[in-house]
Amino acid sequence: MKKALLWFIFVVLLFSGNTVEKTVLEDVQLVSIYGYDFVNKNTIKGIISSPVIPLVENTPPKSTVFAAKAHTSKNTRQKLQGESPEPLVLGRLEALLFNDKLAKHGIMPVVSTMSQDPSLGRNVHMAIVDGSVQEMLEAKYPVTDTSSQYIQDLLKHNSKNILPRYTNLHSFVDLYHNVGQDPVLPLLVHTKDRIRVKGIALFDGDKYKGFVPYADCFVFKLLYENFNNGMYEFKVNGHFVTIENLASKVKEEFINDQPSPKMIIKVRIKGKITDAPGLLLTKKQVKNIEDHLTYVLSAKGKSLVGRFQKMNIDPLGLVVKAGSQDRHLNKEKWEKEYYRTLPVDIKVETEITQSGTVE
Amino acid sequence: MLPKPAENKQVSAYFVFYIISTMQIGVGILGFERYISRDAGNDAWISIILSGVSIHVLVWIIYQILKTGQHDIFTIHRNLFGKWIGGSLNFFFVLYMIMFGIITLRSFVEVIQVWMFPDMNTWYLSMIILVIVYLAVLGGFRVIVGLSLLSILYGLPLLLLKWFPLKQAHYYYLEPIMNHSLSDLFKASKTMTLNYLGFETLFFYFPFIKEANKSQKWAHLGVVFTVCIYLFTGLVSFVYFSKEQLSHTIWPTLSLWQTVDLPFIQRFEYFGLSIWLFVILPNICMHAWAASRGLKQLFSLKQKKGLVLVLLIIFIASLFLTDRQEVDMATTIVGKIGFYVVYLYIPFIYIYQLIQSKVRKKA
Repeated sequence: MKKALLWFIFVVLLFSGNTVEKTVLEDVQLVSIYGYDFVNKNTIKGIISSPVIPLVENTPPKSTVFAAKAHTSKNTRQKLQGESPEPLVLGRLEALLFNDKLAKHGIMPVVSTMSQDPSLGRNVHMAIVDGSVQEMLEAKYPVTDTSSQYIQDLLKHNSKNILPRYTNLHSFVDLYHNVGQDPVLPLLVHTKDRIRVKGIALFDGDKYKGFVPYADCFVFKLLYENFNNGMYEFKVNGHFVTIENLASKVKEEFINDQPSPKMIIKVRIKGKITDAPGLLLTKKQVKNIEDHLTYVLSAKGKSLVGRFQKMNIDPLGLVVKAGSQDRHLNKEKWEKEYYRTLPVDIKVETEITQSGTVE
Repeated sequence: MLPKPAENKQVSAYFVFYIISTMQIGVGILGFERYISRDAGNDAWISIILSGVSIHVLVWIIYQILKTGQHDIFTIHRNLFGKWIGGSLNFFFVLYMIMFGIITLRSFVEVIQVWMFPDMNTWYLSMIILVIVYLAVLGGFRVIVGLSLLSILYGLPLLLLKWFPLKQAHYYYLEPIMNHSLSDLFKASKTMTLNYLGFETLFFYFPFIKEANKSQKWAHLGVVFTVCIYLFTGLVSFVYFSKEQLSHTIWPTLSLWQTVDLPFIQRFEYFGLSIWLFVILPNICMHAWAASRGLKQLFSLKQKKGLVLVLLIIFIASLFLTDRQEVDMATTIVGKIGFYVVYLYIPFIYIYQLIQSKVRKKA
């Protein structure tokens, strides 16, 4: 009897209404893109794009855009809630966008609130927008149904060719905290009915400092990570040649000979000639193309690294990599004092293996 | 003194493998990387191994004590120290088990509250889990062993998910190897001990193992298995997070689940945490079981009544730990007590027992 009473109390407590708030998929507004625009020094504008799936069959989804101004990112979310018909839910957020002007003032206050939020994944894409985020999200694009789908797809497939492979919430926060490396993000720009990758945005800590133009992104990626995609066009004896990257590997070697330490970036690229109009691809000619490619890539690479050093930013993480090879290296000190004047040598080895199906 | 359990209540020797590793893997593995990398940075994985080696030595000592005593720690205490001192030591061990029950339960509830249901009350979750524990412990020791086996079976596939963070790994985060001093490594090893605790429950269930003297190799294998799991988990976190970010991340292992990108499930943490209930359930069961058995021995209390008492204490204590700071503090304190128990008290009993048996032989 006593036992039955105890179980009865348990069951009552179990159903005592201490239930978790339900979130039914049909009753929430899923946010797919969250963007921020610059208003003034103390105010930001939060913009969200959320897909609306019409109830009518066979009609494509539309995207709606909400915008609100506030001083902190959490507060923009609160204000946006006030506009949305259903509660906004960030669980399926795909991308975070930042206006370039805002990014110049630093984006970490916003990013850190996002990365603390357990309802978000760590693979949320991040990108900088040259111009207004709101205009980019509100524009209509003939290529896809919604602007958010467009941005997601664009970022996804370009991360294989020219953009760094991972430019997500995790990698940004990780590189931001990591002493001796600065984060990078894709830079997007919005033209009339297209969104285009403009280049790779460079950061000093969390402040946007400049960008690598689209034409140089391939070389940047060669120096940044191993990959096996992408094309590069260069000039050989007055003819344009395009090669496709079959596999490239990069390895940094740090030689700490006092008083003159040195960094050598070794790049090995295996490529295939895809386009060489007006050139007869004899063995000798292929060798010539290889030599040219070696020269062009190392010269371009050197000028890129020189530019980073002049700007005093380290997107390639040369200090981290030096630190991983020298156990006595003080990363903080190196980052501040020696990085700018560190001689960096780039050694490129090229190997052209194929030239297509026609001889 | 309790009689030896009947054979139909015992389990085969190889089950020690599952019990040992289940007891060692609990809530700690969700966040241990942060604490050990604080001292040893990228070399913290060496501390995982160092600490694991010391656990092997302790398991060996525990077996020496138990083989000589041929009963559980409660009886051994009484034989060694007499009724009053032995009895108070037993009482301390009962409290020790209860404390572990409390922090295991409360940490898990905290994780659920932070990651899944922020508006869920502590008492509600604690109540549900403790009722399950009550039912399991009523089933006896064999049921707890069964749960341990299941916990390994359910938990193991979760390791496959490390594939996702490994795609983004920076292997140079581990280099240069051995750039921390030995004292740093020992400091991290000391912190690591807390995560390996749980193996000392051997003291309590030893009489429940068939041919217990032959089970030692299974215990050592269990520890090896645990070390491997911790090592793998730690290494993945160390190549995924930079040291600086790791210091900002409270549950690195859990954060790694956030990278899982499967077409049919967007937020894997929810799934992973639900499975994790099965991983921590045998831990709480074992603690409650050991404590209630101790009470039975000490006060001739019926084990069922003792169990209710133990669970009530766990329940009430878990309500008093209200926020992150308090849970963290409690965990640190219990970890310290555990550290001294295994590294000072266990060798002490061993030596005391050795001396006494020599003295008795002479006399």
